[in-house]
Parts: sequence; structure tokens; C-alpha cells
Amino acid sequence: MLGTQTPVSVGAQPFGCPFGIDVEAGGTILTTVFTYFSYGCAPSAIFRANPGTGQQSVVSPHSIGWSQPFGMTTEPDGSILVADEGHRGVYRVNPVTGIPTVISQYGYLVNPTDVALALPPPQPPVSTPGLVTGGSKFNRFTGEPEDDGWIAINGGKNVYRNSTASFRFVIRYDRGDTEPSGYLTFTDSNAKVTIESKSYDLLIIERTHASFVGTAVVNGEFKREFRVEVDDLAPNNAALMDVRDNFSIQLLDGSYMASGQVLKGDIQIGQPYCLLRPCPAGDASNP
Amino acid sequence: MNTHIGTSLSRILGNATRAAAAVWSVLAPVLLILLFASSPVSAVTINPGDILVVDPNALGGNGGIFKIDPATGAQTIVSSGGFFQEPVGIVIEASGNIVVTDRTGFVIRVDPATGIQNVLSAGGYFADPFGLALEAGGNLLVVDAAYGGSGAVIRVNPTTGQQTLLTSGGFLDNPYGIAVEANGNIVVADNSTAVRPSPVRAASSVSIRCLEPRPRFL
Repeated sequence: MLGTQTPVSVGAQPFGCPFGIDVEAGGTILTTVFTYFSYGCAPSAIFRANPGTGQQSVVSPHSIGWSQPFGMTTEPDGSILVADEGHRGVYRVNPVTGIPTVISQYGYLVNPTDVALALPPPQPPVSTPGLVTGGSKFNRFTGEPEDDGWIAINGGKNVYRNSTASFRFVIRYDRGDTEPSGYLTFTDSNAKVTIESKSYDLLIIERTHASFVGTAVVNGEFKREFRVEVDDLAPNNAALMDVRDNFSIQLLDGSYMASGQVLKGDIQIGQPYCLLRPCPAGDASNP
Repeated sequence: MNTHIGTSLSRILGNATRAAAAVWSVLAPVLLILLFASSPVSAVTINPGDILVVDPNALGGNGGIFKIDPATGAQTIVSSGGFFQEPVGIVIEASGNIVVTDRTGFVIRVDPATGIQNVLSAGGYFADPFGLALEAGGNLLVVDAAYGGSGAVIRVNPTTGQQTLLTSGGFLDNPYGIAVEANGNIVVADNSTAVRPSPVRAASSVSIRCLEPRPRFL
């Protein structure tokens, strides 16, 4: 056997011969059972299985009139769409009562095996309001660094292990802004890489972690996309303690990446922004 | 004399061959166009909420994809003919393109705006590609009901079509359905013989969770 396999729900009747499968928003698993009596399969029906315990329950029983239900998918409101080969149709099933409603039947359909639902195109990610800074000697009024911070490089691509690199950045985003603003400078002298931001596109703050992307001039070459990931783990201005912040930067063309712990300086997420003015309710920077 | 006749014959045959090749070079593209023109592919607009159905036996037996209006139930052909021989599984990518599995060994991408089909992946591990699912990153997962005699789960790169065999054997015995849990785990509906062996670690780090071993089908 190749790969790792774990049985989720193993059972005799009435769960026999599942064909279609889907996962509901809450994580429970739905299956359709395609009747095939000559092979000992259970009467056709729709079942639900607890993904943790494997416990099975009937969503829509055979007695309701299923013939050969096969492929399925779920709609945003939880309704279940099922293709029934035997009935030559597509049904919408109430996930609570199990009662099916025919959506379309016959016509071109001879043995429909699967269904899919067209969803709205995914929305582009939206920046998180807040302020993230990195460097050293932070201005107590603006929260911005006045000197470079340094990382000890312990991973990356086209870097020298155990070397160091300097960084300094400010990125802020407020509701209503078209895009984040600020600046970033990064210098890895050993690898001869200098990155100077020209614009920011996105800032995402998740508690003590922040990531941001933008375009930069890299060694004089304009329009290179970069991504920075930082962890604000240490108390502010306490980077020499046991717990240290993390900083990583990569060029999205894959040509360079450096990551490591902050040796000198600090990463600060949110707090300066909130010290200077009240954090709007719901902001990631509002503790 | 005989040499002369032989030379003439070969010259005639050579000219005939060249003429036939020239005619074929003109006719072949026309025939191909006619072949695909005879396929009832069509252009439809897919709106959020529309339901797409794949049917392997529709339209004379080679199957097709149909749009179903969720309000009226009206059916519209999205794509048929072309590479379709027995399409069975269907997903819609984030881009809006449709991907189907065809049991004859293909994964086919369909542009709904034109109905045009392109083979994304073929051959390789495919023996009876059936169920189809999408991973969060856009990779396609195919559950194959017959690879190695018992079935497999195969990941397909959506750009290159490259196949990666994630799991085979074990609990699998003619799986037809596949889905992905929120944490990225893959769940498979399978009707194999009931056993409950302990999980086995292998090269793939993907956890395959099999549903319901039961008597073999087909």
C-alpha cells in the first residue's frame, strides 16, 4: 500500500456501497449509497457520518424514493445537490428533513453521475488595519524605528547560513486606504542583496504574526515582488531575551529568501498604532 | 526495357503518393475541423448558483456537461463530443473553468465560455479515473477505481497536468467518490471488503480516510 489510509466510518447495512461523497461546512461527511442489490449493497439513500467517531445516520432514507443517487455537492445554505442516475435527475435535499425536491429531470439527462455548483469568484484578500514595524530605536511618539534591526540568517535560498542581515520597515493600513503605506529596507551584504520597497500591496495581521507583500527595487532592478513574514513574540524592545521575534523575506520569483531570529532590534505589531490613537473596534491591532 | 518500365512505374507511383499526400495535407485539417464542428460544443454563461451536471451516457452515448438553471430546471449543453467518451466526475475551478474526469483515461478542462475542451492529463496512473475534487491550492484530486486492480488517489497539477500517485492499495477497492476536508485531509468513498487495518505510513504525507468497506462492485 502506498500512502496513509485511515478508516473513517466502516459499516454494514445500511451504510453499504457509498459512491458519492462530500463534506459539509461543519465537517460532517455525506455519502450517497448507490443501490446494487446483487452485490449486497444497501438500499439507496443518503447518509451522514461523523468524521471523528464514524457514527452514521440517515439523512434521506430509501423509502423517500431514491433510485441510484451518485455524485453530490453542497450549497452555501447547506442544501445538498444530488445526481440520481436511476431517476435521470438532479435533486436538492433539505439537510435537516432529508426531503428532496427535483430541480431538473429527463431532457438531456440519461445517467447523470456528478454535480458541481458555480460559486462567485473568490474575492481578493483585504488588508488588515494596523501598524507593523521592525528595526531598532523606536520613536516613542510615532512608533517607527530610527535604526536597523538585524537577523541571524538560519534558512533561506541563496544565503550564507549563520550570516546576518539588516532590516528596517514600517507598514500601516487603515480602513479606507487603497493600499498599505510605509517602507522597507533589507540588506544582506554577504549575499549581495539589497531590497528597497517601492509600494505595498497587502498587509495581513493575525495576532502575533504579520505578513505583507509589495514591490521593490532589488540591487537596482525595479519591480520585483517580495513577501515578508514576521512574528512579534518578544516583549517590545526586548529582543535579547530568550524569546525572539522572527523575520523572513523572499522574492516571489524564487531567486532569494532569508529567514531568521532577530538578533538586534524588534518587531512590533499593533501596539504603537493603538498607543497613538484608539484602535477601532475589530481591528487586529486592538488587543 | 524492364528497367525502363520499373523506373516509369516508380515515377508514377511516386507522383501518385505525392499527390495523395498533398490532397491529405489539405483534407486533414478540414476533416478535423468537421469532426470537432460536429461536436455539439456551445458557449454558455455560467452564473453563481448555476448547477453543472455531467452525464456519461447523454447525447447518444458519449456524454456531456449540462448547465441547469436552479430556478427553472432548464438544461443547456455546455460541452459535448470532442474528447468526451464517458465523462463522470466534475468540478469547477476558481477561474470558472470546468474540469471533468473521463473513464477512458482523461482529465479534461472545458472553457465554459466557448465549450472548448483541452486534455489536461491523460494516461499515466489513470485506469478508470472517476471522482474528482479540488484542493485548496487548486490541485485536482482524482480517485481512480481501477489503478493497480484496486484503485488509487492521484493528484493532478492544474497547470502541467503532472500526476502524483498519493495512495493505492490498502483499504481501496474500487473507490468512486472523493472529497477534501477543511484541514486538507482527503476522504474517499469506497465499497471494498470490510477490514480495519491500522494506518500505514508511506511516502505520501497525505492522509486518506476511507469510507465504508463493503462488497466489491462491478
